[in-house]
Amino acid sequence: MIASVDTQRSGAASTEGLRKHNACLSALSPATLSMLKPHLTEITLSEGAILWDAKRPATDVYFPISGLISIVLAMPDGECVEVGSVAREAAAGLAFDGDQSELLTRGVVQIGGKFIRITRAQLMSAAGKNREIDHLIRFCRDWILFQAQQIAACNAVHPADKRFCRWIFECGLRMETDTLQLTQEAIASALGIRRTTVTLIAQTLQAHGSIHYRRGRISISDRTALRSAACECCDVLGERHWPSTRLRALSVPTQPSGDTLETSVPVSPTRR
Amino acid sequence: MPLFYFTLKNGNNTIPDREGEELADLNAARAHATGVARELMRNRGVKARTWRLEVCDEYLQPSFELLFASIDDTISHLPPEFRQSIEIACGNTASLKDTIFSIRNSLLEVRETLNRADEIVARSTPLAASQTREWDDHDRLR
Repeated sequence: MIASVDTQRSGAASTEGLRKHNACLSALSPATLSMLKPHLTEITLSEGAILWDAKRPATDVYFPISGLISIVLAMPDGECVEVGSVAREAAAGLAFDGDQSELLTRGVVQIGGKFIRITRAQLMSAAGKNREIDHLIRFCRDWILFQAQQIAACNAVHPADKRFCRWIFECGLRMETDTLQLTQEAIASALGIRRTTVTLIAQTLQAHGSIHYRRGRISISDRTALRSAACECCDVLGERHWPSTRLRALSVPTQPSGDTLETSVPVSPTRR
Repeated sequence: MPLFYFTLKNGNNTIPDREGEELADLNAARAHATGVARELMRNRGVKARTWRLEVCDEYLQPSFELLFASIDDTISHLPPEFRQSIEIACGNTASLKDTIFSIRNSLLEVRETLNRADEIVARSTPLAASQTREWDDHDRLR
């Protein structure tokens, strides 16, 4: 797996610095990427920026390089709960076809950083001409749906502390970092619990040495301990379902088509 | 609005919330504590019933303590007397845990004091060598 990542990246170097940052873009073949390249813009977004919501449907698609986008459902009383998130393993702003576009969700920058932006229309028209881009869109949609169904089950049956660990672990893994710029308020809102609850959970984990918390910043000090304190949803939401992983599997020419098909079907959360 | 602090006591640890929460009054603090306790307890099973949230005012003086068993919805179907005995049992277990916790802490402190005393004696007297041996024997007895 790691070897294939390296091949992809070294191949990418010849094209442009852009592609090596977002794992999804770097999984594309050089030809496909150069087709997209004229439409890609690198932008910096800060925490709290709203990318789309009910009043302003998504017109752009975002490929995170160093930040994290949270997809939340806003309730009429103003409370927001996260139903999925996207870091460098995927793209955000793609869910649902055409007219239905994200009417229900809101896309918020949870952790600020660098992103690559392309207009939805340009990506869609590219998908009509290129099978790889078509797959990319499908995989990214699957990923959101997959997270949403897993999180729905997780919220219903798992205790808050395990969900907190899952959330932090997932962030660290997908963003490939052990230091997360996150306030406890932001985590509380994502998990749909009170800030006090988050603080008490974070302090307990800090006493056990799995994380270290300073105002606005969480460092993962022991990934293994954090992983074992998290719920089993971490296994289900594993790397094999990331759009970037599935795209890479697609681009390996020796792989029989049957395998590719199999990886494109998300495993049901009840069948681990 | 006054500031309230919430401390989690789970038997093995006392976890403070150093940031505190601004709330209208004691009733609001009670409602907040109940909400936090429910969130911590949800899907956690029996174990968390002996946990407590201590609510302190802005001068860190304890206002009240909330026993998780007293707001546990999973036992609300029981007749009131059963429910009450569970609450009493959980309350007793909690104070037993507190006692064990504080005894353990005092023992640690006593041990530390004795060690420090040993060091001072060893350093300050010319008879240090022979004395230390005696203290070592004493240590083994402990």
